[in-house]
Amino acid sequence: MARFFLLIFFLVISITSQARGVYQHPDAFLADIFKDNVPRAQFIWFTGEVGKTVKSILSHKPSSLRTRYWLQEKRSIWILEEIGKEKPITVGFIISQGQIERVKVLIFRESRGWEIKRKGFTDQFKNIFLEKENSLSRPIDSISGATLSVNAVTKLSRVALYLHSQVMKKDGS
Amino acid sequence: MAPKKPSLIRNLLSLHRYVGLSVAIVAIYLSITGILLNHTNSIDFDKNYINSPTILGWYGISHPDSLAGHKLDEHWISKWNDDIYFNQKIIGQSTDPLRGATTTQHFYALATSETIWLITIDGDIIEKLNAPGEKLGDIIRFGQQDKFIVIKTEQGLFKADADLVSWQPVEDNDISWSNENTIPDTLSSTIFTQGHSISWERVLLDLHSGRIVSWGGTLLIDLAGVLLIFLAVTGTIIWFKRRRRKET
Repeated sequence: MARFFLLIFFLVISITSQARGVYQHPDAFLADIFKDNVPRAQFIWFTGEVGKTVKSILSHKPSSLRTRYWLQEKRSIWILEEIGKEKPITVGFIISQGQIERVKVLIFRESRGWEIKRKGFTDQFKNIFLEKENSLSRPIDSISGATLSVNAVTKLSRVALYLHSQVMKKDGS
Repeated sequence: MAPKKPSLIRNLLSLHRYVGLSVAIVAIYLSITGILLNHTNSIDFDKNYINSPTILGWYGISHPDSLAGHKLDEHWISKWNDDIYFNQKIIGQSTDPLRGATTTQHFYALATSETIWLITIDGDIIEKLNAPGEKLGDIIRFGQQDKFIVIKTEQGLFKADADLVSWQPVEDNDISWSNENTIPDTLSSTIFTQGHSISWERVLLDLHSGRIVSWGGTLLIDLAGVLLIFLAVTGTIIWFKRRRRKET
């Protein structure tokens, strides 16, 4: 019986130890994408219409006044943060031709909901694009026990796609 | 002649009297705290926070005599209980230690060991950046050279460009490092008061439930509750029996 409880104890410890942490440093994420030749970061300010739209997607005021992005031809990379339950989750997005090419959870600080880092979840965002009123072209399946984290990543994906469209407009593409 | 047997009603009355006397003070106490709890909104007890070290001590909350911070022009950047303050305004949270604050060409900036925050002169966050920790290590000191941000890490000194996009090694010449200083007492007092969420309403609630003095208080209030029920029941029985006797 003691062994059984010991096993359960270590199982719980190993699961929670997976939960929080830096899965990939944002610099390493960028270096991976650009093969160590990272282009200079550019900025987009959350002012005017952009600010209003981002606020409506997040359902709250953005936590900062601007964010940076990295542009390579028609591909843009965004590293965004949103609070799941209590702490911010840092997520990297690669957007290409108005569609999500890849989503990667970079830093997870919450105690629950780490399952969103799984490829099975992030792969759902592949080739997704924005439709009317900045909604996603496909619904995202939730994960039981990780609803708030799923919501945070889903909102950020809409923000990333919207910001990409603004950058491309500015870029004249 | 055999002594007269005390009747049930007399026994009950005697018990009722003694229990009533012993529970009277607690009943008054519960009534007063209960009435106050009903009106916490109108007397702003829900918006006023405890500043008494004694009461805060009951909740296991204590604060140092002073708080260290970094001065930026006439403003103070400080950290208390994982909250980062711009003067008395909470602008964000961080579990990492605060390393310093400085002015750049266009903005103010502060650094924790792992992040750099650019802020406006009103304390609004412009951007939070992950420090280049992956390449350069965690920030140990934070300062500026000619209004360009400089960080000290285990790997040396590095200076950022205006947009904090690239970092270059720099010599230790004319760097104005951010140093910790004790923030004014009035400001630290405000921060300590805001830095916890113990309102007068909460204290009143804990007084009412007895929780304020741990399990002993709760037990006492529970016991008083049981005795008040007893009083209500015995009072009703006594009244009913006396009424019946009068009728017969």
